[in-house]
Amino acid sequence: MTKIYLPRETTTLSLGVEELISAIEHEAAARGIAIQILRNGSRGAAWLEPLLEIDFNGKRLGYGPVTASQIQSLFEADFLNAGEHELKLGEISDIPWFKQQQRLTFSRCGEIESLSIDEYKKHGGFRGLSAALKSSSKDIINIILDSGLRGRGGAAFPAGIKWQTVADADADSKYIVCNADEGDSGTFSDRLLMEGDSYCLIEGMIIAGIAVGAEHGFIYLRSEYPLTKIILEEALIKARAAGYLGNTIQDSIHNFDIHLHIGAGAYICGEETSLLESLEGKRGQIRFKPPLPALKGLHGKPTVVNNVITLASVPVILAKGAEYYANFGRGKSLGTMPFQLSGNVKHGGLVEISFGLTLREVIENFAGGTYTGKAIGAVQVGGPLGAYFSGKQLDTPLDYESFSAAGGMLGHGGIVVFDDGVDYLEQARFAMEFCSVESCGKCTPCRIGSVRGVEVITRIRTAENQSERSEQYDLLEDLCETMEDASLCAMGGLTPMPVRSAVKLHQLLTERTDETMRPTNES
Amino acid sequence: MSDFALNIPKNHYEDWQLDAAHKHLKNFDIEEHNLVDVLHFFQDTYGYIDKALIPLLAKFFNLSKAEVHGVISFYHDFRDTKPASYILKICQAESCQAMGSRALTAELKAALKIDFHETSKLADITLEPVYCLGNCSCSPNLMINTKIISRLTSEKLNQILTNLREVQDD
Repeated sequence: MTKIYLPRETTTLSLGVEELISAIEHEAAARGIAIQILRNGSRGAAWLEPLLEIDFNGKRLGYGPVTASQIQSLFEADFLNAGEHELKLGEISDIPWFKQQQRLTFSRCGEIESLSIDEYKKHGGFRGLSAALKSSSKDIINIILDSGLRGRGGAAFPAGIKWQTVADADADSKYIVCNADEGDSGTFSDRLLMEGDSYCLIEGMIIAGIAVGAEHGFIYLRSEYPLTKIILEEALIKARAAGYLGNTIQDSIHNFDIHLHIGAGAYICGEETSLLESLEGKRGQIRFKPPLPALKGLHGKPTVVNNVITLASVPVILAKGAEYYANFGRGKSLGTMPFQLSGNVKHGGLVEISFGLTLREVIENFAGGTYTGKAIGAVQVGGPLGAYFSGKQLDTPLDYESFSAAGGMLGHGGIVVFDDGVDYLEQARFAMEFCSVESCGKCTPCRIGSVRGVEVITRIRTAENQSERSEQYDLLEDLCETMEDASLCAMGGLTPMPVRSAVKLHQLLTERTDETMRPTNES
Repeated sequence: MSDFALNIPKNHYEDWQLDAAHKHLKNFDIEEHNLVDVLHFFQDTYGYIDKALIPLLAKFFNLSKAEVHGVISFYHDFRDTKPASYILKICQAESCQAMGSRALTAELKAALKIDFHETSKLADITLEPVYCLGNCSCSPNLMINTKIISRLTSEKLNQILTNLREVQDD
């Protein structure tokens, strides 16, 4: 009986995978063929979804992107025995999109039946936990420190130092909080991981718990991910039943359980202190720092707040060692990063690669140009608070330091491509508008500044002459400075980043247009 | 387009009743559930948070009515009026913008003759903005109740509206 893999995942679902499965079952039954359909996660190549895979003599062969109307022809081509068909992609591992990646955190994602603990274990799962159960708290933290793992949520703070702070704190209880409030536009790596390899996150959280001495973990999941919620609930039940969560996990002295909490549609709750407030059932308003959440976090107790990808990178580090992980990447950006290609791209999706390729290389090697076929206008990296890059800036290497030096940030690894039809000034206005919609309201520069920002940018658009316009530009710069320097958190503090970069691109473009309009001496 | 099928169950809500809400609330444990959890439950049950719930919740959680109201109004998810059977959320964030969501949003508003947060008189639809559904590699995106429709086009949008209106007529 041939095994067919089809993802149970949000993107694939949005592309009609359930209808596809009905069509396959119907066709197989009509032909009297026995099949077994297994549900994996997505491997992240959204442009190939729905990606149908078969297990053929131990090899994984792909057909995609498949639609329900092609099922009959696939059966006629005998796809169950690797028959030739226009959708045939060959062996998955030979597809350049996958071949060019270094998948450490996402190694199992798409490969295994996502909710099978046996499959998870067969593919290296829980080896990190076994290693952690044999190690002291100090040893685990040292491994994380040596691996160079930094927070993948956006702030890039060294995970080991955070863990160390919580471990050293003296308290009767401590918490592990997983930030799964993936709000940045253009990012979906947390979702793909949770839907495709949820035990990896669970394993990472258990290891974090052992390392710092916490017995309770929370996953703060955004409400915009309804399928992820269902999958995580199932995963938590299965992990509990298999003795990986609860008291004396795997007959050790450690207790650890995970509670799933659903957000309520507030971007700011991705900020760690706001998230903690929300987790306590309050308004998601940010807290003053200090005290750091590592010392006074959830319910005033020492708390590790880490992003999904940070925690999901822990098992492979524990299983294969700090050195193995640190050998990927460069400088102070060690390991791998799942970058997410979206917006106006031909081939969108997730690629996990070592830090260091340039933005242009990633777009050229993986995205295959713009969807509309036009030239690239600008690329926003790092979510709605990240900078717009264009032209030569696309040659910036994708690592934390290079991006920061170029006036941007990697953030959570989102890469949103716009074609040359983009209206930069509109993007700048939107950045301010987004801030005004999502500001928690605690500090004035963010709450009021963003509203004023929208107004000023609107006036730049409607200004009747150059002097009026430059007056508004000055005002905007002044406003950006205030927001950057005086906001309490990154929301107001970083909004100037997309605003300034987009405004600069707008100015360059209008100057160029003005110049071509101006009669020159030569003509 | 031939493969585009739309089979989305309508949202069904209980009619608001204070006594029933009281009973529901008794099933919660203050040690285990916080205000946001309980608000989610009531919104799933009734489609919105009725004003009459505020004093009830305040007493249950030992908070002031102002504090409860503050939490409800803070989060975009919670609404204070009953929505239509179909809640359409169209993504307004950057990745979808790069694929033409601004024009599609304008088309949607014009077709339904409403703005965001309003319910159409022409169809059983409430329209909401959303900032990212996490399906950015197949932008633009639209969510109907809990189903995401990706790679939205003008054509697809018209088909969805026709489809939802037909369901309503049945």
